Amino acid sequence: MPRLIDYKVAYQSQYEKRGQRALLLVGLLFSILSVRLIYLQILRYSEFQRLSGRNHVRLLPQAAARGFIYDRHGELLVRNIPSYELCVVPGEVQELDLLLQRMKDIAGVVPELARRKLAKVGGRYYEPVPLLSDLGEDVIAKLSERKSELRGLIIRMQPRRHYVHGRLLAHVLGYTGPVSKQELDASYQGRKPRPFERVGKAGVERQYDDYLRGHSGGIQVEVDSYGRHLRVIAEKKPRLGEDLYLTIDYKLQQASEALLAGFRGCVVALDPRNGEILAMASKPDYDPNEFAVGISSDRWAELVADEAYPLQNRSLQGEYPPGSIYKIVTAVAALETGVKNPYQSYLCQGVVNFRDWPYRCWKEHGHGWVDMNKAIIESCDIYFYRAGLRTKVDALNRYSLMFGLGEKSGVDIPGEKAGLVPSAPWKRKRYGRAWYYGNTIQMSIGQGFLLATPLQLACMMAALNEGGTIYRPHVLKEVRDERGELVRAYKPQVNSTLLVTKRTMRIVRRALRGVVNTRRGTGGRARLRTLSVAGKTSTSENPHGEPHAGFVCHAPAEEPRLVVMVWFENGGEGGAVAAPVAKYLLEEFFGLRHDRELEQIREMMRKEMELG
Amino acid sequence: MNVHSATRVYRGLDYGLLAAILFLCICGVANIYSAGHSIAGMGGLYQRQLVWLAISLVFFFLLLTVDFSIFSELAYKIYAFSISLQILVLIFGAAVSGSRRWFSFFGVMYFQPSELAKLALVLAVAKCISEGRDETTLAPPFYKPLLLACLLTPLVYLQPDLGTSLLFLPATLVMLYVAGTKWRRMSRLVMFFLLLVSPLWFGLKDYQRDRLRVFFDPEYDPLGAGYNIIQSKIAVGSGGFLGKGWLAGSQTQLSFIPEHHTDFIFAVVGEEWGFIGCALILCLYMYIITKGVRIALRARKETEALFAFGLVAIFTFQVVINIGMTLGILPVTGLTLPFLSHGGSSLLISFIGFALLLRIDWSTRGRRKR
Repeated sequence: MPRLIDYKVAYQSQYEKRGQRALLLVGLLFSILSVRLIYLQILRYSEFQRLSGRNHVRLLPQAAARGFIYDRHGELLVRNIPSYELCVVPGEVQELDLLLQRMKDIAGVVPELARRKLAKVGGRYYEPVPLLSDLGEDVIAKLSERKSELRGLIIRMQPRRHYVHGRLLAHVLGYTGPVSKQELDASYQGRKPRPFERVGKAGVERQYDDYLRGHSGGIQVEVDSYGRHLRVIAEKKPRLGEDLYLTIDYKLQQASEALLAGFRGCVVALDPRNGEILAMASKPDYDPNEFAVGISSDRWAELVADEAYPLQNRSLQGEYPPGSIYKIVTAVAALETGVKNPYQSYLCQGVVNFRDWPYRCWKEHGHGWVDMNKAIIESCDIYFYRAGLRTKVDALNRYSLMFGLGEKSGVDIPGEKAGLVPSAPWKRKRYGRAWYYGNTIQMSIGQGFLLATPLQLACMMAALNEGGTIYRPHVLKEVRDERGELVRAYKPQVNSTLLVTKRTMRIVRRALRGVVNTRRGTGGRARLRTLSVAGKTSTSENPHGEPHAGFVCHAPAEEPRLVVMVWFENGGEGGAVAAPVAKYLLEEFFGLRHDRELEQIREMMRKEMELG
Repeated sequence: MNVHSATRVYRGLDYGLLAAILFLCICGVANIYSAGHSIAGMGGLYQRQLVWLAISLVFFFLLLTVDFSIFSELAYKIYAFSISLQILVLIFGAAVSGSRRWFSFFGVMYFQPSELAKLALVLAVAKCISEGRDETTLAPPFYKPLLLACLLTPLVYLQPDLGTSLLFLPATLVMLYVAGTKWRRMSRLVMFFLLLVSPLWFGLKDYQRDRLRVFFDPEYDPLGAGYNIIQSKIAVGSGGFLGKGWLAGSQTQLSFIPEHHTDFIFAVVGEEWGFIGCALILCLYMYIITKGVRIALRARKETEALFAFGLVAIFTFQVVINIGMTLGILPVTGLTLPFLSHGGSSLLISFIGFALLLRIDWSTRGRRKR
């Protein structure tokens, strides 16, 4: 029903008023939008500029391949081999259920586990999710056969550590693993690792991680919001890790391990002239390749719980009472302080009473009249009880420390133990008791509270050279880069110098030659026709059963070039079990014809141990 | 209606307004091209937009020749038709990612009836107010226009098209306001509107509720619902004063901005054309709105005036809400930016609406001359 005069025309002013107001409001709203635009695009421009840059540039880290490890002659010990990893790119999968079923059939991927991993992806659908590592060749073959029906699945190559000789030198080489939280911490020693890298966890791999690890690089890629890679913006090539050349002599090491295999014990061979370790074996051991593949927690728990301690490097982590080998220290200390005349003889009748307490010699019926020379050669306990009592605990303690006992040698392998050299104050502090007479008696033959690692005993033997210098033992010889250029050469370092008279040194070294080379000497089984060997046996009483069998020697006796230390846990008599092993290794090192074949020696050792 | 009258309409047309609209459309196509060209399957979007633009222009020039009184006569029928379409789309509509908002024609063309509803409502309310005034007090009717809006709101809301459904009542409100409704009644209407909206909160889909929630705290879920706001702010902000240049915006090209060809098209403008581009677009919108209001104020018939006001109101709401959402000062509700966003129905209905507006303008000026 149209009116004659339209309301609009009649009430134009009201319309004008309200219309203008509405327009004013629109103007206000647009002003707010403009202010906001100025705020975002002009005032906060630089901030958003930065954010937009970060948004679409992603850094894909690439860990550098670790350096190789060689022995002193260039024998390859550790390298990298390609390892294949199964990944799924969620954005390219068409039928997830089917894919997972196939992967289960072919590679044994657990579908639930895979689903859980894939659920964590978030929005980055085009980033590969690793599901299975270290694929076997058969699996790779099967997967590539069916590649067309397995869309979204890729196989990625990654280098993995390969310990070429398996268990050989396992404890020295150590192993690598993914970076842990603690290692990412600021307090970590050395170059800080990146979260995606693998770092050395034990042995040389850990000690020289900085050289081996190299410098990781990466590629900057432009990605879209799904994580799809569009193009490479920049690339920084990773710098390969540097190669290590160890002081280890592969052949000597191999011989040591072959001799030890199946027993519990260790061998240390070093050059007394500079501290280079030529062989360091410890049994039982483990295969570091297990760690390279990625060790399961079950297997790890098994290794840790093993009562034979396969993870322990006995050469520097085993603390044992040194036994008769310690008589070298007692002899030196005695000659320097308590015993003025080494040619004075005492009667050994197999037992002696001190303060109404009987102390026995290991030889039941005694050694008869014994002077220092004979005491060392035949390892007479009673002579050393007397010598020790004359020398007193303080001097024994002092000379022990001078020989490097009771403190870490500083070898370049992590985890070294310090051993223990007791003293009167130590005992008071530890046990709240005074130092007894009997403590000194026990200490003078290397028993009682004394503890030393086989490496320390080897260093002790190494001290018996012309100058009395003890070099810091080490396994690193050189570091070289990928082109073979020398990066670092290990400079021998002096740990300490033995301050003793030439006379003392002469007497002790003569006696040690006698241990091996005289008819009654305990170390006769290490005797060589063409090489003068000097050494000392040890049969060390311990609370774990049979005595430990030990033998330490150096050769040639006139100017030692090699120290060999052999130790068998609960092996029995040192002269019978350990000395033949040392002899074989000396023959090996000096290129002599073997008196007995390796298997013969092992057979002999087995028999001795059964007898003992 | 004959060829003669048609040429007269074309000759007397306000080409300034049409030029502004066409310029916006060209900008839209350029930005849709930029948003889509680096993504597989979206490269052809700008071509579709061009096709729709052509169709819209045909409708535009055809409907210019039709006098507004004819639409005014048909207003209730169009409204009823629109209501039935809303119901039909809920039943027969093409489901696209969980919503039924579109009619599909052979799977090629899609039409969104909620767009038509905007036009139908404004027509019906304009007619309703102008013809339903109280005989003695001349007060505009209150409950009838309200009812018209309230019928549409839930139907569109169910599709679900939250943004559009929330436009109906405010648009009616604006029309009632300019028609001279007393403030007291208006405030009562606002109360009613709020009462109507509050239960909607519970009926909101999770993603819609999240969108509203993250508006107040975008970092609440930076990868989920807050993602849109943050990414669009980064895009606009990183554009700076001059912009990164056409096809050079990394946020746009790498699809960090979701829905960058439709709801978030303004973020593409902000990133690639910078403050200059944004300011230009804002000026164009302001120009169109001012023109629209002037046409409304000049109109000689109340129906025409109210229709013009309603149309401009809806237009303004869409522009302000969409840009405000892109700039992170209003919640994400899913409204298109008229003439700029990709979307055929939106474009077509906008052109039809402005055809009616320009026809009103033409006839007003013609009447004055006579």
